[in-house]
Amino acid sequence: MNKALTGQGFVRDVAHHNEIKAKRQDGMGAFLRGCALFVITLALPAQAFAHASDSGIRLLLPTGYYLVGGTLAVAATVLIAAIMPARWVNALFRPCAAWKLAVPRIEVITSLAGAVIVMALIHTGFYGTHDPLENALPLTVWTFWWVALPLLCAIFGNLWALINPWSGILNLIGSRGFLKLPKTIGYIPATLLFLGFGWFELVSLSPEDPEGLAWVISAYIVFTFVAGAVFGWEEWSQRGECFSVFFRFIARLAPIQISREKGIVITRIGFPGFGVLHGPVITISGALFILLALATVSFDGLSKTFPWLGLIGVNPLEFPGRSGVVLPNTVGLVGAWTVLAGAFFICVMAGRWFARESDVPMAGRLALTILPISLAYHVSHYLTALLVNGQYLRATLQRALALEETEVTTSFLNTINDVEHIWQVQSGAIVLGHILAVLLAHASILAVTENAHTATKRGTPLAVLMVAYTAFGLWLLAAPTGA
Amino acid sequence: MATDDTNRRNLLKGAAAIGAVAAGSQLLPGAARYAQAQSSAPIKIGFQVHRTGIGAAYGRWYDRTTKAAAKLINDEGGINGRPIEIVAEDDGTDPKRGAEVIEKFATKHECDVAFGTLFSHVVIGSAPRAGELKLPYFVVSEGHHVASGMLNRYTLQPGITDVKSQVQSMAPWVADNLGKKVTMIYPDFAFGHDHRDYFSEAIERRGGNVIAKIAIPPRETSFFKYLPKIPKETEVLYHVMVGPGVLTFVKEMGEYFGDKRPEIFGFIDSLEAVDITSPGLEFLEGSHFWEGYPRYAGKDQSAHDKFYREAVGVDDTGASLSDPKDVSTFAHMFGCWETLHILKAGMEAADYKGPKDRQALIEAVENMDVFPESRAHPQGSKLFNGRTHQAFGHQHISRVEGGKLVPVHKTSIFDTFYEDETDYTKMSF
Repeated sequence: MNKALTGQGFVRDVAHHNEIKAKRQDGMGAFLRGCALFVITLALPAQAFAHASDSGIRLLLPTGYYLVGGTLAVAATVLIAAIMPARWVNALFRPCAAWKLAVPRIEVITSLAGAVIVMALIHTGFYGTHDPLENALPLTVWTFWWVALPLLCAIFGNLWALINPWSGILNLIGSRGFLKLPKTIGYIPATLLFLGFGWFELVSLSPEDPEGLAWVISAYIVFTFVAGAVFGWEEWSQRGECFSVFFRFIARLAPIQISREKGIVITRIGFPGFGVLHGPVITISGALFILLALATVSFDGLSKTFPWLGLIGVNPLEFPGRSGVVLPNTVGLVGAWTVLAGAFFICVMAGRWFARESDVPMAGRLALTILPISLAYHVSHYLTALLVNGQYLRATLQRALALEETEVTTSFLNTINDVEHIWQVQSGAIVLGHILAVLLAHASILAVTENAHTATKRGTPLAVLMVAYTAFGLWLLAAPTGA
Repeated sequence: MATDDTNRRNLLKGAAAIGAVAAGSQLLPGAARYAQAQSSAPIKIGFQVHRTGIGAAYGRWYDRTTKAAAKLINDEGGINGRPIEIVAEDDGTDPKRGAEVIEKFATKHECDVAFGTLFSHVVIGSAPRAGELKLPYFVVSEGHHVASGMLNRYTLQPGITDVKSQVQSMAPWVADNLGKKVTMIYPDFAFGHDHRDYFSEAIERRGGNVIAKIAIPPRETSFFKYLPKIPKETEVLYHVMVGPGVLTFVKEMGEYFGDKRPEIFGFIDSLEAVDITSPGLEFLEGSHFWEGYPRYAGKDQSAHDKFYREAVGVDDTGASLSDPKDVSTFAHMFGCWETLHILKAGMEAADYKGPKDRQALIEAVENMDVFPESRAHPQGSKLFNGRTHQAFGHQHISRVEGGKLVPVHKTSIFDTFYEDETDYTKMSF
């Protein structure tokens, strides 16, 4: 069967090739060629290399069982929370230990160090390799800072407050601001900036391009320095600098909470999420920020699924690239936020109506209880990116340190056992995140409502939304993707 | 056509001209090893690569192959005595970004040529800009868009064959060995339609017949309802399903047919970079695949193939040496290796010194006919059609045996020919 190339065969091919060339030189078929060109141009040549990968293997997994099981687990948590004595729920989120510590103020030093590192990274973005998987800037920004740092903050507390590039310098120059950021504006500056960031990450053409990213970061750093100098860093980082707001919120999930009260540093330890109940309450605009953070990561998942691509008229096997979906994905991003915020506020109002209580506003408190869901989506959505691009980041560090470079592999996305393990971590995160959110929401209402029965009534619509969002999250993970 | 040997001879001549000898030059470290040319500045090759977006899995292996080829070329003295520098830019697997990248190569990075990229829509979006900027653009795309005449004089595809020749060259062997009554299952858009049209025509020329054409809507993820449409008298089932539904398609096919099934023939594009031993793919045992370059080294493996695999870092099963489960995009990525070697040969033939010689480079490549199988062309010998800017080469058919892709047939280049559809040499620069 095996017809290996023989010398004679090749000579024959060459002869035939030359024969065809000779025919062409006779001016053969100019008209036919013209017609063929016309026809070919009409029917654009096509290629489809979208290979199976982890999305294809996921379709073979029993994801339906996980979806039903996970959703039922969250629904069961709602029921258990409803019948559980209030003191049990309260006890779960009560700090179990607190210490007064004389921690030195290291924020200035760490922030200055952060500023130096950011400057070095920006320099690398401008002058280093143009390959986004070898340049330290996009790898650090998108893999470490945006994917890993939120997870670290959810474990160890608000690390961004320590390493952000602004607070140290602004503190050193003694800038306290000379304009007051109006109270009524709430978190609107941070929310709009985060929306811009979401658009840059999910919709813009090349967020990983080192040079482009260096420009964007430079502009944002300068803008934030100016805003911090004008309004004072304390104020701007609370409601203007969107990442300070984001990381501060995420850090409220950490089992360790550090606060400074009257010059004394108090460290509290408790069940993950206890900081949500024991920190400052936020306003409606703060709720909108948290909902935007969740909507952003949710839409990123949704925008790659077959149903979404079908909705916007894109063949999922022939994704045109980001430039072909800028408008629908811009609308989709804002739309996802609108729908999620609409559903949230309707549930909050419905709960208020069910419970016949109108004295205590709950939207801000309940929005904080969505944070575990936001973190869960973050974990599940970015897990594979962390596993792959984390290797590129490691390789870049190895190169920088003149160590032997470890070859990047993605085999775990092509083997069913590994894909199943990844799926289990992702779906587990979604389910656990929602369970924590349900418990936090119940505890949050109990904190302002003496009557457990009333609390259940008040929380039921939001609990239903959380159960539905669990199903949606698991469906997103399991859905076939084409972008 | 300059082979490795002639390239080496040219380099030696260059070295001799300035009073050096090859043996002596090898004793010198680093850049000093490059024969002294008029300029020792590197030749900059803009590498347009799918680092992000849907093509990233291919981009990773295109990158590895390109680096390996560039290292080899530099280790052997570079091009015209100058080292080559690969300037990689991510095209995001997006045509607009692709055009931006081409512009950056030409204006910002001052690259001598642009090279790389796979997905057709990126090539089609980028080629006009390359033409406007008069930047030679060597693509490794496999699409028929180059030979179809829809691009321009500055765009060439000398290092990989196109899908039209691949598909039609399968027909003779399929008709002679698997059966003449063929049912085609393909996704219902241009990619599937190309396969349908090219193959139907070719099998009829061989006395065969496509007895059913089953088009699957692209958004479909379950295929049971289409399988009963396969006529009972089908001797060969030709499938070109792509996307995440491929594995489900194979699984459902297995459940539908059981032990009684027709011969099955597919394109490896469906399972490129996927381990053929993956659970669920057992049904493919005994089926056949087109491969641009056999993933598994055959029993008559050439020395060139062995060298190429070692240089790129893949083993005899087409997987990474550092992770045997990390299967490469073996059927396609050789195109980067071969294209870089053609660039070297073309630049040497044109005595390329800088951007003013770009036209001479294109003319030099257009004048090439034959790329004999060699270390520069490990996939096999090729014939280059300078008028259509397209290479023609052997295609391979492998059979799944014991969870491996065993090469069983290598087509003649003759089987891949079709009439010219354009003549770029008549276009002005």
